[in-house]
Amino acid sequence: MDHDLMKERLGEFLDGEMSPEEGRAFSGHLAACAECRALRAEWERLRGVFFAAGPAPAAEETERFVARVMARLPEPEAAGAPSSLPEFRWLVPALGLSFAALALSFAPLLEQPEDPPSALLLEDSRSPEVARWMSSPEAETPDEALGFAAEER
Amino acid sequence: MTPGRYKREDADEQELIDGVLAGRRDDYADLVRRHYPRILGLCVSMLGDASEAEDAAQETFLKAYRSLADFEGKSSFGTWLHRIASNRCLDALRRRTRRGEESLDALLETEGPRVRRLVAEPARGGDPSGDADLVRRVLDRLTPEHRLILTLRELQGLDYKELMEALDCSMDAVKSRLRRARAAFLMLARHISGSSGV
Repeated sequence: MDHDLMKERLGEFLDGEMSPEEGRAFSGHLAACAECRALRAEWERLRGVFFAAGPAPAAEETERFVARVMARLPEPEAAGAPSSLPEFRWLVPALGLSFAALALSFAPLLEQPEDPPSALLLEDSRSPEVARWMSSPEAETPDEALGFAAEER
Repeated sequence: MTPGRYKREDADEQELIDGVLAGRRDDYADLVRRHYPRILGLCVSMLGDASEAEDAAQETFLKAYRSLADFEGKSSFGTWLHRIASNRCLDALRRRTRRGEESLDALLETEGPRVRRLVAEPARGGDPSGDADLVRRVLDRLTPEHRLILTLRELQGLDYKELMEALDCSMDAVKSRLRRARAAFLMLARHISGSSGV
């Protein structure tokens, strides 16, 4: 690694985030480079001043904080807090699909019987042929009554 | 409070999380108790004001409780809390109005010698509370993002992998952001001390 790259990666070295090989190479460079050593010292000094840990909170303070948080926790039902049934969420859509499938399976049973052909005719448009068909005992189909020949394939 | 690396979830903590999810709210008190010092430390370092930091810490734990069912365990619980607290602190800092914010020159004019001494020499036997206020006023000059990553790394001791999880970014982004944050902070410190550094 050249010097400029070393300077740029000083932070990684100080953070212990280099590979062992890179770390050894960097240590070797530091031993020989006054500029990088000075930079390291400057950073460690500033870090000690500006990012020093403060005193840990006293036990009483911690307990007061815990009590305040616990008092503000939502009730499980009201605020969507951790539910005791997260593992059954899949059941809702599954039930919905099952119900839909069941409803569809009953649909054919609910079909209304077809209207008879006579019901499709308007009262005032009944022709003599239709009247004959409606009263003809021989005709089995409206076509027969009306004299249409069956189409042969 | 000593900075240190978060260890991966141990069995005890996972049991507590499972307990909360099963409806044992008291288990959450144990989780709060364990993580309060570090989360408070982060919020104090970021926000400066003790009252505001306490509020942010409370909101962090409340948010974590409400979202606990979504915690997948890909990171440690502590790192996950850091992520929530970081976002809350960033939001708070960004909301602060720039009106009334002290300029660096104004700070140097009123506290020049003290600030220069702070930057040039480690605080030894000085005025801890006074120095803490000066530290806060100097750190206020950093952008919220630079201040956050430096706090997470230098004060909270998160390693790069934990930083990735807390900041939700790549390893390259962590390295890049840290480099820029440190460069900005060094430039600030050198400007204060009137030195050109190395």
